[in-house]
Amino acid sequence: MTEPLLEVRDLAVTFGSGRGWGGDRGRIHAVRGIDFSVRPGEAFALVGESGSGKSTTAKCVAGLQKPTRGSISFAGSPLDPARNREQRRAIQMVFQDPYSSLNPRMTIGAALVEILRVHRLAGSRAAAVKRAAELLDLVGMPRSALDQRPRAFSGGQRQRLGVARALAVNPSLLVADEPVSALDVSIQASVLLLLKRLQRDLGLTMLFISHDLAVVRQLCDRVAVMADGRIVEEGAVGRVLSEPSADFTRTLLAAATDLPPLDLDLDLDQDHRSPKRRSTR
Amino acid sequence: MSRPDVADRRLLSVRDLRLRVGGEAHDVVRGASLDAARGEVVGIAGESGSGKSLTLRAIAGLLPTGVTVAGGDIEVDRVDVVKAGPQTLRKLRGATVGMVFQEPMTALNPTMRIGRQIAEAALAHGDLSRSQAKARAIELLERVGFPEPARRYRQFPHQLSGGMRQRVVIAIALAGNPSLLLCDEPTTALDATVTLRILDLLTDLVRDLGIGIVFVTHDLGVAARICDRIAVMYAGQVVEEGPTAELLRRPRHPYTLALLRAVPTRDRDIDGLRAIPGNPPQRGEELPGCAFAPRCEYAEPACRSEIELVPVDDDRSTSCRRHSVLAAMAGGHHD
Repeated sequence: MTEPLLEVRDLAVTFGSGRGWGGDRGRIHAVRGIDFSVRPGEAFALVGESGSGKSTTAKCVAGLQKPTRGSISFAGSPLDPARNREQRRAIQMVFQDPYSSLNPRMTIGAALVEILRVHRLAGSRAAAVKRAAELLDLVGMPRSALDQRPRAFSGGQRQRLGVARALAVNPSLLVADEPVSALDVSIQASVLLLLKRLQRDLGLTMLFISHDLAVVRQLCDRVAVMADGRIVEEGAVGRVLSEPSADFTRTLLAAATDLPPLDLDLDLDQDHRSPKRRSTR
Repeated sequence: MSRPDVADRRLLSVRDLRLRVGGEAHDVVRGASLDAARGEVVGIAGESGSGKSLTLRAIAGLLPTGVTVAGGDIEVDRVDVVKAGPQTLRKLRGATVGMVFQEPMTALNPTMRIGRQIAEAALAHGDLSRSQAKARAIELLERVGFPEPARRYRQFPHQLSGGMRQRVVIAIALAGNPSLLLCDEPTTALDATVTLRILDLLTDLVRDLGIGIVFVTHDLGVAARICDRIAVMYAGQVVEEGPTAELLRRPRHPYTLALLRAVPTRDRDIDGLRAIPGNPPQRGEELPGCAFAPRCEYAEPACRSEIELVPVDDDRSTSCRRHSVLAAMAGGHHD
């Protein structure tokens, strides 16, 4: 068994001081002592409804939220809240809202070059620009995007750029917090396919936060189901979805809205394509 | 698309509706047609910018400032909404049409007890005394699923969860005894388990009160769960309309098919997922013919000229000129 890349032990986050009005009732226990680990190359999902503590956990891992208690270790060494540059580089995050996660005043090229320079990953400006262009290739965006600002792009394109930004510094772990839930259905698929391709091609390790079991099914190997700040069930995605052991997982599965299966023979369409396409064959 | 079997239960008829924003040269809704009857839930499904919410607002005569009806007819319970004056519309809203919006917190007054908000709506639409209105509010709270309604009457919106707030909004919409409920993404801001309970409540209301519902959503899974019929909109056009199971299992428009193949489901792995190439058109772009043609793998040159919604099978319609290609792909398991 390989050593875990990320190991979370007894993580707890409490908001509010517990002093003042309401006393201890004013305290919100967002995460109540959870344990999980993610192996290298694995895609691990935290699933739950709003208020379950899944995003707070993600923020702790990414270093954006200070835990009240517990430890997080990464590649064998403990992660302090005050991380060094190397630790900050190794864990990157993709956010839910592609409209507020890019600086509207900077061109895409300038934003990527700045990150590369801050992390001293490019020897010269020219090398940084070259690397930025490669990143756009990686996420399937045209190189012309380098000179454009975020407003020139649709939600799905911005999310691709958000992924490029996160990958710029060669992270070992990508934390993705609901990366497709703000996107339209037709756009979601292209971002999911991009993340899957990156997993396969780069061997990227992912911590994936979602409320949507169907999305988790597409991308992840293992899943932990969270409710009320605790992990109620953990296991391989296929097993948890087909034979859930916790009552809450069953409730969640029962509430998932599914579509009836398509009753179309999609192979048949080869012969029925438009005349234009057939002639090019 | 007219269905003789529902003629006597007909509540809503939208024909070739065209909506235009201010000085823009092209319409944002470009010929939408839709019917709804008592006892059924009709869904309008589409992505952002498809015109589904504007169509719904037009039905209630509640178009935002700057958006005008550029053509077509809307008839709600024999009232011509397009020609109606403000007074007729005010009477229509509440007494005939109730509305439920996406964000329950913004639809409610945060400083007023929920019971009183419902009672005020009852007073505005009915010939009731204050005490009768209060009794009606308590009855409505019970109807939408509040245990101990008399006690809950005195609560404020901030004391309630998102799901319970949405129930209050539904109670307000029902206060005037409408026959048609217009719902704009009523569950989009809610968790899956809460969504399910709200959908169950709406289904109960249709069955028990015999009302009709028009349900706007971007989520085909939600539409599959609650709608009897679905109209799919793309870039301001209704591209396909029909009974839910038929439409989702054997779509007759390539856009519906593409959407269905782009939705992640629990029984399909990622290799079965297909992204739709290209991007939806920008608002105000000129789109001759079928708006989906530039992204459509079945498109032929004629698709760029005029299109119309035509009947197919007994009970469905599609705007795709190549619908027979999709019909030929339909499996042999007709049910």
